Amino acid sequence: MKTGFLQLLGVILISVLPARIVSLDIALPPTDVVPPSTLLLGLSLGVLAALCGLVVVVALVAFFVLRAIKKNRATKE
Amino acid sequence: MSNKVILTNISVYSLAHALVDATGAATLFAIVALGQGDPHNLFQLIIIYDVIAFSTQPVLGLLVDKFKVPAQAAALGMLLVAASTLLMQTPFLAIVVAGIGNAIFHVGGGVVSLNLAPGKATLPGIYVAPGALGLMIGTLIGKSGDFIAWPFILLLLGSAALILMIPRLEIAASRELPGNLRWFETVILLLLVSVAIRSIVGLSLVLPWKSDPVLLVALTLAVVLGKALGGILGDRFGWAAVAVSGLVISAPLLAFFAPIPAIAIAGIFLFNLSMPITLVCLAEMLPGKGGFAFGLTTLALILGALPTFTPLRTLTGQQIFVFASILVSVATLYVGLRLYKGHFCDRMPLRPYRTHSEEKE
Repeated sequence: MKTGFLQLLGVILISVLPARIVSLDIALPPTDVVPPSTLLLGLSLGVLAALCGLVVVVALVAFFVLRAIKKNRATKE
Repeated sequence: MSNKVILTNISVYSLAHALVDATGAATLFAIVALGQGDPHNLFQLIIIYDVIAFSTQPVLGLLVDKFKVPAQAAALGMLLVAASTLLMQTPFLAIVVAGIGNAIFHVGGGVVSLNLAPGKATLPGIYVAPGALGLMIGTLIGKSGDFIAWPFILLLLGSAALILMIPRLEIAASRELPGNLRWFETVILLLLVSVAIRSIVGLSLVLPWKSDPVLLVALTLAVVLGKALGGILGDRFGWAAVAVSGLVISAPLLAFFAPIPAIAIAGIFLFNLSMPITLVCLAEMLPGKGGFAFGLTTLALILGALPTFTPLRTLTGQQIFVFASILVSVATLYVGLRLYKGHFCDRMPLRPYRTHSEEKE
């Protein structure tokens, strides 16, 4: 059986605490391929980085939007 | 806008808010309860859900502000949350969809509540308050292992339809922000720092008695009442007076008496009074950008929450840290509100009360 990306992410979850990878294979059909541990680690770190990146990117966007709002108002005055 | 329209909108959105948060929490906890039951999985799911639901709101808020579609956004958010309950076989996807749906609903409803009575904290407080009740109910249902999706789906679909059917609010025209723009970022930053610190404190408090269901209900009601009454009292007695005094009194209660349920519950009530006031003050700083303002507060909440997801929680849970943090939050909120009042306010009365003789003049 071929494992889709989202299925794989459903199985893999990251841990904030280092060196711990926890499986989340809840009610998923059994797969006949066990992903290698390096892949699991890579995906886990990837998800963690994506979450942190999301927060950072949104914070930056918010910062620049605030500056743009101020600049826009200052120009009007 | 007629009182009937205001009452209808705030009632529907407040109940929908409780429902959305209940469904999100129930889905989250049911995934684990119905599956492996590993508490580590739950912890990770909560982080993913929270980060997606909270951090995306500024961007989604900007979109809602730009296209002026708060009701449609709220309805779409409810549909996504309903859809997430059908995706529990793929936990990651279910959590992502629930988180995005939650975020879209919150900014949509937030814009509506901020525009029902612009410049007032009462209605946003009433809109935000039931979320805590929904979270508690959803958590209990999800943990029980008896979660059934279809009642939630039906209620969400019904509420979404209701939101699209009720009289729409007129979005207030974007007004000019009066005052010296030199303090623009300072006021916003101070308000957001105050929110972030309150987030750290709220998530770091150790309340071991919460396992008692009666006390858990009392605690949740204190949060609900604190947020709801914070706006009402703030509009009546002055924002700074209510928000700052509430936080000051709550500091020793929460820092040193957290193990005593009655005192801690009173502290939690006072601690939450400032929430709608901070939100509305921020929205007033960003006229016509209510969704963005709402999103900024949730971004501050998640930034404040991040340390509590790490081993730093052992530090943030210390009594002295809680006490000092609340005092810093008090200082930032007080200065932020004073600067707002001094430089930007064109709605908030300088003195909430006017004497009879003053009124005659």
